[in-house]
Amino acid sequence: MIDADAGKSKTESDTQLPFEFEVSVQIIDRPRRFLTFESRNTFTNALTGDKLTRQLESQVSNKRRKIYHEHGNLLNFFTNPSEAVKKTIKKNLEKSKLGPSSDKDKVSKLADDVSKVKISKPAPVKKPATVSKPKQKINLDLELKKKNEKPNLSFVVIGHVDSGKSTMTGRLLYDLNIVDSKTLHKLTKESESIGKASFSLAWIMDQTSEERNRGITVDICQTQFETKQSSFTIIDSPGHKDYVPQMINGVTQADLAIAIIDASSFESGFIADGQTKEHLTIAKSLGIEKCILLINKMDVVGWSKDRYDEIKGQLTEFLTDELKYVKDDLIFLPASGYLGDNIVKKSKNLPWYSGSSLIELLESENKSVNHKIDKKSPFVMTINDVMESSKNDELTVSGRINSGLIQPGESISISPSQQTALIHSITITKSNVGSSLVKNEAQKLAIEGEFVELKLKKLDNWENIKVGDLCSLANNPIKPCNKFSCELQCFELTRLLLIGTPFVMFRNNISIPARLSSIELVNGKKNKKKHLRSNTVSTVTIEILERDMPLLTFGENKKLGRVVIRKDGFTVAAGKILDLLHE
Amino acid sequence: MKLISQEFEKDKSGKITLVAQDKDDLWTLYNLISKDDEITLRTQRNIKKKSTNSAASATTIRKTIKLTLNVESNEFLPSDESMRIKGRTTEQNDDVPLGSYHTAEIQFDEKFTLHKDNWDEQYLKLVSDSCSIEAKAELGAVVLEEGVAHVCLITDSMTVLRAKVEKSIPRKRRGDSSGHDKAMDKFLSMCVDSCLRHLNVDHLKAILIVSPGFTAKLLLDKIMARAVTDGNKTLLQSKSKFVIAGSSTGYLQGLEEALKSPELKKQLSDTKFQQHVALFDEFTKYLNDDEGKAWYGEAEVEKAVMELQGAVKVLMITDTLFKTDDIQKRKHFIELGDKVKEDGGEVVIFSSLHDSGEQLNQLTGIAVILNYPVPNLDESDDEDD
Ligand SMILES: Nc1nc2c(ncn2[C@@H]2O[C@H](COP(=O)(O)OP(=O)(O)OP(=O)(O)O)[C@@H](O)[C@H]2O)c(=O)[nH]1
Ligand SMILES: [Mg+2]
Repeated sequence: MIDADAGKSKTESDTQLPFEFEVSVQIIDRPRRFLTFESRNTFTNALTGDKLTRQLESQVSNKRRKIYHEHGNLLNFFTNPSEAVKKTIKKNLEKSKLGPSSDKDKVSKLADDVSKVKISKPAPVKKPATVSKPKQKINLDLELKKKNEKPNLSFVVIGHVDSGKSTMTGRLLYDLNIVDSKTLHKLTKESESIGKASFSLAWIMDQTSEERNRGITVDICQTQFETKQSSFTIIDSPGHKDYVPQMINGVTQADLAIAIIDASSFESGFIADGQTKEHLTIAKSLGIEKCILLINKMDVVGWSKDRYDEIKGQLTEFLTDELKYVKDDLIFLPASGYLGDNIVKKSKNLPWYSGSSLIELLESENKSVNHKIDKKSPFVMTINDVMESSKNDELTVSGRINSGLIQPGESISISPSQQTALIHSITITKSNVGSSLVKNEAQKLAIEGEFVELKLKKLDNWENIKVGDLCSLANNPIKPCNKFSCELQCFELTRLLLIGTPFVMFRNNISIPARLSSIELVNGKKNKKKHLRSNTVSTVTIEILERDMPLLTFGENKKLGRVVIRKDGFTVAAGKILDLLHE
Repeated sequence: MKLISQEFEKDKSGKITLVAQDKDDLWTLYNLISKDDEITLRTQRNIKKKSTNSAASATTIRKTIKLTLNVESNEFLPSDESMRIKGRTTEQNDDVPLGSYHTAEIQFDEKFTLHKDNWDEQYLKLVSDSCSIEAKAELGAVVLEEGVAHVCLITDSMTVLRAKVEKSIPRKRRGDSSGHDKAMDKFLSMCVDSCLRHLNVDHLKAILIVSPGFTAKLLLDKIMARAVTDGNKTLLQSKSKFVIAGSSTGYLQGLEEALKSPELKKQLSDTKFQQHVALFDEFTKYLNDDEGKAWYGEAEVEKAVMELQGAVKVLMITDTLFKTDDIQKRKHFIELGDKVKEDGGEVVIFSSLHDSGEQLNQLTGIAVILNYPVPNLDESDDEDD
């Protein structure tokens, strides 16, 4: 008789096997520390269109989703093949006509290898939220008052490529003596040796060999410092078109933007696809209401007031007319980052300018910002960097607290992996003006707006913690999802925004492929079309491809509830998350 | 595909014997084979044999048997590069009872015979296109950015993601970027490994490396450095096959973006894949300019083709629309195509296994570019908002 390879249910279950096979087998060479995996299936959704395959894939992804919920974590499941999965792999390898499948010995070796991969234990099926008390009882109001004596203001430095962002940032740190002359001397010698002497100040921020050899910034660089009255976080961002994603990351961590404008070549950044316009548009779309416009390289244009006024006029028009900035929220100043004019020291070359230097402006901005925090607002923090630890259940993560407050001893939940961890300690890294010493101070309390490092303990599995994850209190976990409704503002487009066409969506420091899945309203009217035109405001449903993401609505958080959409290298739309569509 | 023989009757019924040679052929067959066709092929089965030694239990032997199936459904698994057919046997033999259900896979380099009651023009075109001797161009592509890379194969009819490499890269810090640099180096090495494992450079026409910034260049340098240390002559000699292009993202959509750049457009203009990307882009551009020169949707297309003679420059349609059990519908789409060609237009069939085809599918799967603007083509049914 025939080995019954027939019948409906059999065929269906067969079709699901390759998925597991792919993902599991590819991870054999995975290095211990970093999370890597290869899979062909993760993107097949977008690559296939026929009905059957799609059906199939929805089966697989349903299954995936189910696994996700049952085990708390997808990757965990796949990096940790159960006996059943191992059997499946073996069986499937034998069946498959691909690659090593014909060789039985190899097959079992593969399957064994899979099981040998050092695997961390899977997240428990359901773990009751462990809510732990702060280690130390503190007088909250007193601690808050202390914090508010030196509030933190975060600002991002943005602008077209080569406008002098890194040089200005380096100059600021140098003139505040946070970078000592020995360090600068060394950088000057090094930059001279490769014929890039003019970049010595920029190299304070531009660290990697890539950045130094090419003379452009690639990723953001953040530094914290304290003056007598205030505390600041400065984030230098890249200006090159290709690195707008990194710049967006910087903007999402800032309260205020300093746009650096090159007075000698203002026009090249101000054309339609120049980054002066794009950066300012993004900043406004992500909720930056106040902007310092630093007209830089005034030395190159002979400290000309006419040139300054001309640029100021054009920018004001663009910012107020097109981006709807309030005129009073725009502060202009002429400067030279390279020479240091009007950065920390008042310029002698600009007698016609009677305003403040940059540092004075920042001090007064910090005072005018309302730092009052609502003690009851829920704790949320975005992870911005993950630092290795030698222990499996420990990890240090850094990030900015988006809302609420937190103390050592409390336990948190990390989404989307939905793990819990205990906060062992909280530190803040900063320098004092006048000293190049970098301090790492332990905190009894950390509040909204602060950049902190959290040392986590009792983690289920550190491998699943990624940049962009959201932390919240353990009794208030954030459930990830992959669909949401959104109020979307389209900018000037060269191609329509079509249903189904993938784009890159930015939310806080994450970027991820997504697409429109439906368009409900356009400019307030019911819509039947499958496309969006330039300068429309619409209500749409956005579907995130590849994975689920922890999301908050605009109502819940004014910063995390915003998204920016880029396609083919252009910023095409920005939106506010209205509702999460959990399945 | 290789055509072995064909035999047709006056009523357009008949059979064709074919041999599939690559995964593109499997996709063609997926679109060719439909419900109620009859297929005869050879397949391997485990047959239980009673052992001569009565004490021992039955042993299983592997045997090649001939099956003739009345097709109920078929499915294509791009990840697996396999195409399975499900149906009921219409012929009996020693090993197979009549009317039993079976699933069979089309094997490469194995003959099979397909009978259809109605070989329409579209079916015949599928066969003749895939049997044409024109060399098929297969491309490799790596789309990457710091921390994530996608290794793909691109054929005429599909884009297959072969591998995804991910690695978290620590941020640079003021005064120290060693963690970042080290992780980046490791990440690129992992990409090289993955490329060498999944892309057969010898066999490919070109390999595109696409990224924002300089990452693509760094990867190519690393691949070539590896070729030197490994003494890999084929790889060294294939250096000119590698093409670097820019994109704004390392996600897969970066591939399409790069293909729209003038440099690659020129370089790959002879591949179907690139042509479809360019055509879809042209379509969306017209759509944006709103001159009434581009329309999508069955009703709109129908109107343009049937009522405005000679207006259609290109009819774009996905293979998904033809893959239907509704014979009338299929016939209708074929008629639309015929009419367009008759009137001097062009018909382009998009593969839904490419991103461009998937995107067209999301826009109803059918669209036209017109020779001249017709602003209110959709008037009758769209003014009630
Ligand atoms: N003359 C003059 N040159 C300047 C000034 N500021 C910056 N530069 C020069 O402009 C060039 C670019 O400076 P960067 O600081 O790297 O510019 P950037 O805006 O950080 O560039 P990206 O990060 O790559 O976008 C360097 O050669 C600097 O020396 C200035 O105020 N005056
Ligand atoms: Mg820079």
